[in-house]
Formats: sequence, C-alpha cells, structure tokens
Amino acid sequence: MNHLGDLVSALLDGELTAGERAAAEAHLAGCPDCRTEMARTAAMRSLVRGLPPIEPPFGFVEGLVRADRRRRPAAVFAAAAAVAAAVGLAVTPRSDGVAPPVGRFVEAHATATPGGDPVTNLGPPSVLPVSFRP
Amino acid sequence: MDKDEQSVPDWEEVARRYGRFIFTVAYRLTGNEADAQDLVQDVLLRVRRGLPTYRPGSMEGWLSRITTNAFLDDVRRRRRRPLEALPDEPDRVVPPSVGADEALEATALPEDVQAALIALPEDFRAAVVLSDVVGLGYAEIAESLGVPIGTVRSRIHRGRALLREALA
Amino acid sequence: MRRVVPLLAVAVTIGLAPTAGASAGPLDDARRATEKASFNGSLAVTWVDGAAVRETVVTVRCDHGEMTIDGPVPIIKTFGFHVVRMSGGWTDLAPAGAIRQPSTSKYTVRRGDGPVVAGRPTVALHVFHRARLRESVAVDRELGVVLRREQLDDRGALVRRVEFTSFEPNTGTTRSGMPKQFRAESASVMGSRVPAPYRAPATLDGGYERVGVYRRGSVIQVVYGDGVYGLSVFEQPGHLNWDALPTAGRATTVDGHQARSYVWPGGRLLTWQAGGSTFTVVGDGLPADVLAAAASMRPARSLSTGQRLRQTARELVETLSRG
Repeated sequence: MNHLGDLVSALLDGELTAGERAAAEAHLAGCPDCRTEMARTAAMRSLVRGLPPIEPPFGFVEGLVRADRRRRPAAVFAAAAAVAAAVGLAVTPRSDGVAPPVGRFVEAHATATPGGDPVTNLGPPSVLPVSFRP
Repeated sequence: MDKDEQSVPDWEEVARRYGRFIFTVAYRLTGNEADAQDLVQDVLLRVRRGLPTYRPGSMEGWLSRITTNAFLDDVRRRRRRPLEALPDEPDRVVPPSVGADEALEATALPEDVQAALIALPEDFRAAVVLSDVVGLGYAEIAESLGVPIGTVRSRIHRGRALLREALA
Repeated sequence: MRRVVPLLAVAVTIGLAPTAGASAGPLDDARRATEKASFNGSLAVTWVDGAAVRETVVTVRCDHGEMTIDGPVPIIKTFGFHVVRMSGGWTDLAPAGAIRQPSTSKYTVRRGDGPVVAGRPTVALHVFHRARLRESVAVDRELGVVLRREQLDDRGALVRRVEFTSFEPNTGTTRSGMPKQFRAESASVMGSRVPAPYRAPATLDGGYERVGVYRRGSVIQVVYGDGVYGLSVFEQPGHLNWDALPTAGRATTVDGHQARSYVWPGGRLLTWQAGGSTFTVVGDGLPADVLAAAASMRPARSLSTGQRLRQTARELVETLSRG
C-alpha cells in the first residue's frame, strides 16, 4: 500500500469510513514514516485549533447596528462608495492604532489576580456585560 | 444546540450575538483587523438578505459559510484570475526531522500561526479555517465551498503540511 | 505553555511565602478554603459607578475545586483552568491561581466576631491601611469561605460589596460542567521579567510589587500586588484608537496624559497612550490607589535624572525594608 497521504488528516478528523479507517490503522502500525507524519499533522492541527477568538474593536458591532438603524438610503450609499472607490478611498472608515479589548483585560486581570478568594474575584467579571453600559 | 437556534433570529440579534464569532473567522481568513472589519460588514449585509431563507440549524455553520464565500469572492474580484495556484493533488510524506515538532509546539505563538495561515493559498486557508477554527465536518465544508469531499480532504491535509513548513 | 504554570506557582510560593503576621495570610487561607469547599449559593455583587449604585446577582456552585459562576458571562474555574463562555464557545484564560500576593506590611488585619451572613455565623477580618478601615471580610466559621466582602473608601463609604444571599454547603458530587472542548487563549508565563521593549517597572506607587508577567500575542500583562489588592498593567505597542473604546467611561488624566476611566464591578480600569504605546491598568484596589499607581508607571526613558534617583532610592528603601 502507498503511504497514507491526505488520509492522515481525514483519520485525525474522524472522516474515514470504518473500512478505510481499519486499513489506515493497519498501515500506520507498520509504517514509521506515516506515524511521524500523523504526529506532525496532529501537532499542527492542535496549534490552529488552539487559536483564541478575536475580540472585535469595542463598539464596532454596535456601530454597524446603529448605522443600519439610520437606514442610509442604499442608492446614496452605493453612489458614495463608487465615488470613494474611484478616488482610491476605502468606503468604510478604518480604525488606526490599538484598540484595547477592555472587557477581555478585566477577565485576564481577574484570572491572574494574586491571592484573594476566587468567589469575590470572579463574581464581578461574570457580571461584566452590564458594567460598561453608558 | 442552543435553544436560541430553534427560531429565526432578527438581524440585530445575529449581529450582536455572533459579531465576535464572525469577526474571529474573518480575522483568521484576512489576517488583519481592517480587512476583517470590511469582511464582517459584507457578511452582515449578506446575512440580512439571507435571513428570510435561513432554516433553523447551526447558525455558526451558516455564518461561517457566508463569511468564507464573501472572503473568496473578494479575493477573486481583486485578482481577476482563477485561484488555483496549487493543483489539488495527493500529498506525499514529508521526511521527518527530529525534534522539529516539539520545538514547533513549544515556540509557535498565535501570531506566528496566523502569519502562516495568511501565507496559505486562499482556497487551502478557507478549508483549514472552516475545519480547525470553526470546527465543521468535511461534508459541510464541501457544501460551503462547493467542491467534492475528496478536494476538501486534500486541501485540509496539504494546508496543514504547508503551515508546518511555514512555521519550521 | 500551560505546563509551566505549576512550576511558577512553586517558585512564587517559595519566594514569597507569607511570613507570620503578614496581611496576605487570611485571604490566602480563604482562597484555599474555597477551592476545597462544596456549596451552592447566590452571590449579590454591588458596586458604585459614579453616583449610581448597581447590583447584580449571580449563582455560584463549587464542587471539590471546580467553581461555576452563572452570570451573563458564565465562568468555570479550577486550579489549572479558567474557562469563560464566549459567543464562539468556551475559552480558557489560564493560567489561574498561579501567582500570590507579596507579603507587604501595607495593611494590618484584625480579627473579630462577624455578622450572620446567609444564615451562617462568620469571623470578621478587618483590613486597615494607615488606621483607616479599607476592607471588611466575613469568613464562614465552619468552612473558611468568604461570605461577604466590602470595600470602603477614605470616608468609610461603600465602594463595592460581594455577598452571599443564600449559601448551602453540600457533600454530594455533582457532574463536572467543565466543557470537553475549549479554546486556549495562550498566555505565556514569563516569570517576573518584563522583556524589552515593554516598560512596566518592578514597583508602582502605593506599595505595588510586580509578581508575574504574561504575554498574549503582542500584549504584555504585568501583574502587581500590594498585599491585598491586585493590579494589572497591559502594554500594547502602538497608538490608542480612542474611537474603538466603549462609549461609557469618563475622561481623566494619568501622569499628564489624556486617559479614559471605567468602573467595572470589581474596581477600575484606566487606558491611555504614552511614548508610542497604549497602556491599560485594571485594578481592584481603591480607585484613588489605582490612579496613583497608574500615574507612577512612567516609561523609563522619560524620567528625568532627579526622578530616576528618587525612584532608585524608593526601590532601595523598599527592598531593604522587605529584607
């Protein structure tokens, strides 16, 4: 049998049929190269799976919702977009600089906070969404 | 499944509840905040148009499909040429190198992994993101990207191999 | 990266073990007691935000070291993990419980009879700073768990209160709610050294000592303790995008720099820009103390010779008085 090739990922992802899987496992048992390939692929897979969620800039989603509520006439917006594109401008304002994810920072602080008791340290962050309301 | 997914939510609810999820997928695909913001705006426009036809199911699956397609559409528009930079051919076993993977696991930071993702051809990147960031199965990925399952399998595996090379 | 955490915990425990009579002791004892106890309860969190008094109730379940807090942001914590429910699933914000308060002589603690809280008798711990009562803690007589904690300002007015309104100890084991899958927000533990070009100093005004340094992507988190309260400095290279901040909050200044100040239920958050970097300070101490500590966080290169001499002298005195 040839080496497993892309069956390695399918095996890791549980995407093989029972028959394919049995054959792949039999091959693995006798093939050190494929076992190495499997280990390396698994390591890469878990690195990508371990990537954290990304916090949108604060106010970004709210801003979209607010802008939508104003119901800017679509035709006007399209015309403005066309003009902007023609002169090489981005249609949407791009945010420059660093946007501190303040909610996440509070969570990270409560996690790492030295000493104290966990109940009173973690109680406040768990009510967080109400705290930054204007 | 969340109980909220039993009924069709309205647009604002989707934006508020899934904004962070869409932004994460958009960021993993584009690799920078400004492009991710543009992509999220595009996605939410498509969500508004698509909501009436949304059937209760996996909201995250549906949203990631829209996000990936909006991303690939944009890439195609910008390039005005086909995406297939690499042929979808079976992978070959990469010769093992001693200790390299342990070092990789110990030293790769999220921003390194993100940089390696951005170095992938977009079609491979989309498949890896749908599999390993969103957590979709191969059948859903095939449906989302409009390609056969065998192609998905190949893109995911070759994508992972290329990521590894980029990080080595 | 997570496997480094227990090592760090050991190192810090050896290096900063509270000495007899140190003020860090009683709260550390309460932390350990909470990690061992099993109970269900409702926790009322009250805090003052400007003129407004806000209150929210969350339910807390603790079962042999696994604590679940069901609020708007559900949290599950064990010694090694600290997972937070987000829209995309659960995320682990470890490391948890790895660092401890330094033993400073900033606070004195007096014990006394405590009130009955949620129907349970307590021991009171009164924490004083310069003869002013800063914190009043009621600890369950039987279990050692903190049942009520109140922080007071200079005039004795309440800043915030965390209090159990119901508390039911139990011995039965419930099933673990820890999700089988969660994402890791990988924070690398960097001991207590701040790598260049980040600039957070070893000490901050008000007796804050650096106890740990974490890195998340391009963000450095430097954690300080003053014996009772914690304070984190987050440093990000780049200019602050003011438009991206939440609309709540007040304008203020930190060491002459324009800043935004927010109240969160556990304390205060300040964010500002200085010398090409963006700084965010999150502290659970008194608002005035957090502001003073933040203002003392001057980038080293902007210090005048006189300031540098004073800082060196201060650090020297603090080191000697600790030794």
